[in-house]
Amino acid sequence: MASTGSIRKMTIFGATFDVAGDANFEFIPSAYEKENIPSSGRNSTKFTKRSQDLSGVELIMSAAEKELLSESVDAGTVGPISVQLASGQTYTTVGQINFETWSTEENRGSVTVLPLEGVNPWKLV
Amino acid sequence: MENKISEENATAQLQVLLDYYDIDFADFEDDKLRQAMTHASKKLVKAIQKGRLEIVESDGITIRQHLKNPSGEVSVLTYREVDGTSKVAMKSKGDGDNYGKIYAMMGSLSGLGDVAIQKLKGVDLALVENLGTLFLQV
Repeated sequence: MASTGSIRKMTIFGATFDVAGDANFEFIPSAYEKENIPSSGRNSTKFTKRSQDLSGVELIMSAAEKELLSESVDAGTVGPISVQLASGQTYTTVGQINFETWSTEENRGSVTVLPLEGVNPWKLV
Repeated sequence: MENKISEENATAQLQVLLDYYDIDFADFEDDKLRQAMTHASKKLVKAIQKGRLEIVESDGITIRQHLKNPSGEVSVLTYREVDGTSKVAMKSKGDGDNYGKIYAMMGSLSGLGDVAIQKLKGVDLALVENLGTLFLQV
């Protein structure tokens, strides 16, 4: 049976970060959101393109690490981002980071990953 | 596998990398280190000849490694130029832990992290180690 659970590590633009043990990373697994349009006859299905962002990312980072990441984010860096799952498998993409918050109580940084590729941006290594 | 590039051209490509980082084997006083570097260089030249390694000089220098045995969807690893972030990635490794240092540095340069690098197998891992041997001297 495959292992599941806490993310082991996350690498952003070459820097590796510890991940909060209770973080639940949420991948958007497909490039289109589907919605049924009802009619008096058969339904039609509307495909709406969506970005396959990664949310729920909670990293543990010192003030110095936070400063370095902020600098890269504000510079508009587009680079490699990788996530190592509990199973040991690594998913990787190329994209940007939206750095949402950094809280001092637990040195916790909240980020969202915004992949560059529109379709199938996350690759299994 | 048939060579795609002549030994002469492959050696010239590697020299571009060595010149970029100002690496000159004659500068090394330690015989063992010089031997290790020479050995690694020969292996890198062979990899360039076989098309498994590309050195791209554009806005700095980038190296592309074409995996012989990819285990997932990623078949090409791209290593950016050596920087402070890649050196800081080695901070937890002991002085004698050369493999650990290489995996940490190449994991940072590729953006995949050290575990993904450690999971490479056979010739793909050996090629990373030969590249890392050079990069540890930058």
